[in-house]
Amino acid sequence: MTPLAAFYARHLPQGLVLPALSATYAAMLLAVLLVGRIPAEAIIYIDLGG
Amino acid sequence: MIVPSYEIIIVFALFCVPLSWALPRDHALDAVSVWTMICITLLAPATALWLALIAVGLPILISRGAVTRGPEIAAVMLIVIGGLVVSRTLPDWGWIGVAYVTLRALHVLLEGWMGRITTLTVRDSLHYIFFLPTLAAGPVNRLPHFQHQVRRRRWDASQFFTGAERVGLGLLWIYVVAGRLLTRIAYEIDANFDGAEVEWWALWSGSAIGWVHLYFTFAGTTHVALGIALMMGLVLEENFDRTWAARNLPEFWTRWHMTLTHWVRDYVFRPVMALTRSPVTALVLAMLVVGLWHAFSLYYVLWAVWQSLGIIVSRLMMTRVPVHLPLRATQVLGPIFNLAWLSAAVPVMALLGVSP
Repeated sequence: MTPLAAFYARHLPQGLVLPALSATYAAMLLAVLLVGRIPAEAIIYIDLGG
Repeated sequence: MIVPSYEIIIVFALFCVPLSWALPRDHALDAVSVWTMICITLLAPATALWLALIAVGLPILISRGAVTRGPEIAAVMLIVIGGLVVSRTLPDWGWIGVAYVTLRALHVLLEGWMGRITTLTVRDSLHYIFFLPTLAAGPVNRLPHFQHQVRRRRWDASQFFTGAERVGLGLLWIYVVAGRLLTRIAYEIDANFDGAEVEWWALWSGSAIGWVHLYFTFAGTTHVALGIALMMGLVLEENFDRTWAARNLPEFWTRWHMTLTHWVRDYVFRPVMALTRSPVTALVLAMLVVGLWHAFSLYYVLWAVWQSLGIIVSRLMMTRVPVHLPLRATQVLGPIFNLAWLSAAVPVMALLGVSP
C-alpha cells in the first residue's frame, strides 16, 4: 500500500479510498500539465553544466 | 546532439523502469547502464566520455592497489576534481551531473584508500556511474549501499506504486509549487519593494523565498530520482529529513541535502578534526567544500564563512546561554531563526559588494 493509499484508508470509508486516490493522481497530473512550469531560477542543484 | 533539459532527462530516466523489469534480473542493470550511456552521449557527449573514463578507471585503480598509495591517490583525486573545474569553465562543451559524479568518484577512491572498498569490477562501476535517475540532480548515493540494493532487488508492487506516487509528488513540487506558486510570490514581494531605502529587506525577503523555492525544487527532484529508483526496486539514500522542522542550524545542516553533508562530514570534517583537533577549522573547511561544490566564486567562499558562523553562534547559544525555552517555542522560533540566518547571507554579502 502506498503512503497516500494508507492515509486515505485511515481517514475515509473503504468504498471511497480508490475514487479519492484516482482523483488525487488525476489532479496532480493535471496541475503539472496545465499550470506547471520549470523554475527558471534556483535550479542550481539540477546540474546541467551551468 | 539533443539540447539537455530536466524534462528530457526525466523522460529518459523513466524509460529505465520498464527496461529494468523487462530483461532477466542479472542483466537489468547492464541495460540501464547502456541506456544511460546512449542518453548521455546524445545529450552531452563530453560527459559521456568523462563518465566512461571514471567508470573504467576506478576499478582498474582499485584492483591494482594504486589507491592505497598516498601520492597516486592524490594525483587521481586532482584529476577527478580537474574534471569538475573543466565542466565549470567550459560549459558549452555539454555537461550533465559532473558535480555529483565527482563526489561519487572521490567517495570510491577514498573508501578504497581506507581499505573499505577492496574489489570493484568494471561492470559494477558502470552500473554505479551510469545510473540515469540520479545523474543530474543526485542524491550523492554511495557505492556499497547501491551494490547492496542491486543484490536485494526484487519485484514489489507496493514499492513500485510508492515510487510512482513519489515521482508525481516530486513533479508537483517542482513544476507547480516552486515553478508557479513560489515564483509568483517572489515576484509580488519584489514588486512591493521598489525603492533603494528598503533594498536590504528586499534582498533578505527575496533570499528567504529563494531558500523555500530551492527546497521545493531540489526536494522535488530528489523525490523524482528516488521515486524512479524505487520503481526499479532500488531504495536509495534520502536527501531531506523534515528540513524545516530543524530547531537550530546544526540540526538544519543534518537534514538538508543529507547525502552531501554526510559526504563532507566523512571526508572533510572528520579527517580535518582528527588532524587539527579544531572543530572550527574542520567546520569552516567542510562548509567551504560545500560552497565551492556549488560554484567556484568569492560569493560561495564568503557564504561558507557565514554559514559556519551561524552554526558556531547556534552552538554557543545552546551551550552558553542559560535560558531554556519550552519545546514548543523552539519548534516555532528555531525554523524562523534558521531561515532568517540562511537567507541573510545575500544582504550581508551585498554590503560587502559581493552578489551570487
